[in-house]
Amino acid sequence: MREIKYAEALREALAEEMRRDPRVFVYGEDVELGYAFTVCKGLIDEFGRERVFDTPICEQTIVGVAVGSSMMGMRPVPEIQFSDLLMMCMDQICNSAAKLRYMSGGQVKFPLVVRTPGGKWGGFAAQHSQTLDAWFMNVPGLKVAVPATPYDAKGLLKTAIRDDNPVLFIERKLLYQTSGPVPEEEYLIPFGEAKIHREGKDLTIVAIGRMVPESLKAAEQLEKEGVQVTVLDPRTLVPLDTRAILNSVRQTHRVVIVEEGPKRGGVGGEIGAMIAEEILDELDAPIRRVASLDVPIPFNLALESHVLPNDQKIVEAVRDAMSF
Amino acid sequence: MATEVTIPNLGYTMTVAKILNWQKAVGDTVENGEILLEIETDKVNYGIESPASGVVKAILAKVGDEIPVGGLVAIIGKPDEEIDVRSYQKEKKEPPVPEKVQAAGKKEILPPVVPAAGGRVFASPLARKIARTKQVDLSRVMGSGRSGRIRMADVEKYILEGRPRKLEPTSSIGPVEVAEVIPLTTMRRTIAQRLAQSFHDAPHFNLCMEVDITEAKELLEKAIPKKAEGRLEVKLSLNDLFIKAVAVTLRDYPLLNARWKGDQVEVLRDINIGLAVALDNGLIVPAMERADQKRLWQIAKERIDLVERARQGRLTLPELERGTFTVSNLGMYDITFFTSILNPPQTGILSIGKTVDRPVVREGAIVIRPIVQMSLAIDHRVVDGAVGARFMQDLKQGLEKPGLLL
Repeated sequence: MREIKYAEALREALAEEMRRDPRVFVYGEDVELGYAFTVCKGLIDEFGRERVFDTPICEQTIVGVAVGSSMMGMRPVPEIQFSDLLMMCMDQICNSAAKLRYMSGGQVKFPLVVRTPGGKWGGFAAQHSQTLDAWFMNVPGLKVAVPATPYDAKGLLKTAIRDDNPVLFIERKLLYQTSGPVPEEEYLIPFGEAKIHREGKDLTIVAIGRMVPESLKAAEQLEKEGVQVTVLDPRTLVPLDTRAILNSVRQTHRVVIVEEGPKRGGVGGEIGAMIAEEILDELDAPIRRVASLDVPIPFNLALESHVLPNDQKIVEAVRDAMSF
Repeated sequence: MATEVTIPNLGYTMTVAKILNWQKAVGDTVENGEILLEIETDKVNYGIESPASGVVKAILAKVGDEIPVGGLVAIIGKPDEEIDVRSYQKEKKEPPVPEKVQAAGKKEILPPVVPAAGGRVFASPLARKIARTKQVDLSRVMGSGRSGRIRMADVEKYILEGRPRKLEPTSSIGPVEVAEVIPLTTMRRTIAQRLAQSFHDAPHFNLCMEVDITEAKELLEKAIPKKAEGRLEVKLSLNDLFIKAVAVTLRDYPLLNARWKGDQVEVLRDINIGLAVALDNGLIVPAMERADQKRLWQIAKERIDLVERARQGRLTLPELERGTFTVSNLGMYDITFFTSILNPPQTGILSIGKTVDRPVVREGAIVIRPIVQMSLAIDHRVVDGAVGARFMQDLKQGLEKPGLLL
């Protein structure tokens, strides 16, 4: 199968959906030139400025336009250049997009997808490196997708665009230039279906976003130590494939949950609590979480790597759970 | 004759104990050493063993009751024995007898306190579930996890290999007749578990040497005047000098006065020397607090007291838990040389043999000198050979020139 980059896979998804459905359009800061992460690069050549256009640096407007236009039957796919900037448009996302279908008794649909990159880019400091997955997982009415591979990025984005509900599509800056197999023929990936990247009998690693490749690296090292781990990526946090997670932990009896965001109030806490509530009796060791330290992400590269999770921290957490 | 079951004193601060559960009911048959009930104190949960074999005649405290130390909780008697429970209940209302009087007045000896065993069992939820469905008593399962925590694999292994045979003397295995089956007491089980774990987990190595104790013996003879009185009226033994020498030498070797804690080593501030004391049915190691700071006569007095109370089963939990280094002496059994298994989580244990007059070469001539052979077992995870060797060298110098210790 051919290999393409994560950013290219996203671009293909956008282009295919725009060809399929004239109501789909993309816009945001610098999307005409494809800045800052090249996803939208070249789309303007095929679809023109009617459907691919720049906006002022005003996130409230960007998502506000999406809420209004989706309400009127369009399928907007706005881009927020850094997920940190979602703070500017929380009201539009959480109060408008997420709530109005419910409050209108289902009379109005909001088929919009807010695409945005989260996580580390390397020395981009506290306001451009955050991972905010957990915030949006906590907002009823939103769906949240966090693809980890080019294949998942394309398949999930196409599904998101076809969904009649608002989707927060959180990409990862450091994954944009990673490559992976993506079929040329069309495919969709349903939401709420986890992917098991590798299977091992000793422990389940539940990994999200960029922590999936980090966990796979950790798994390689652990295999040399004789520890066989399963690496499971939920792919969408809302809806969450709890059944796949529970089934895996039922087989391995140990679990480490890895996310790039801060540990406090994080995705790992939610998934871990769910496991403990459902299948405490299956656990042979405490649930372990690997996450960012609860501090702003430092600008300094050495400090940044100290704060963020990585493959070594995952290896240590697994060893700890195995020896408990 | 009926035997009373009372609440033992498990620590300095303990005044009452709460009844957690009864493992036996009135009318049940009970073996000597079998757990009767579990209690909870300010520090530990603890299983109280039956002090006699027989039938539970009366249970005088409910689950949740708080009973003072020395308080009566049950009566064990012969199956056909008639017991007037009311007379005991009246007695129970009396204020608890002070510890010393109680020890002198009672015939039965309280089971020695053994930390960990009989207390709370640490097991994973999965191990508990399997134990529940397979009806395994987790307190009989040896845990392989951190601090002896029981995991799934331990329960499965126990089910496969370890399920004890029915305790009947007539059972026979193959061509060999079993004469007697001895159920494990709490102490036996604790010794087995701790030492097996120590031997398995801690990579032991031993350093051996001979010490000429000519001068040490002279010092001891001179140390206490023949007509000593008052606090000096104490019989010093070579052991006291060994304890002192070990404790003082340890000051320069903090890593030998440390304990292994999985991912770190804890160096301990106080030097508390544990003394291995053999009992009829086991072994117990009370520790002398800050032995490096004590004078020889103090060490002697405390040693005599600890050993005596160990044999009476009247040690307290702190005395059993505070040890930081252990000394074991089998000289009285004519053993000239031996090695020991570490007393976890300690890092070192010194084994001392019998003093033997031996021909040795001094300044080119053969002379007869009292020689003691010692071996030091060390946890190699914490300390390397050279450090242990230097400790032994310093210890030897201290004992051969005991003036250096003072």
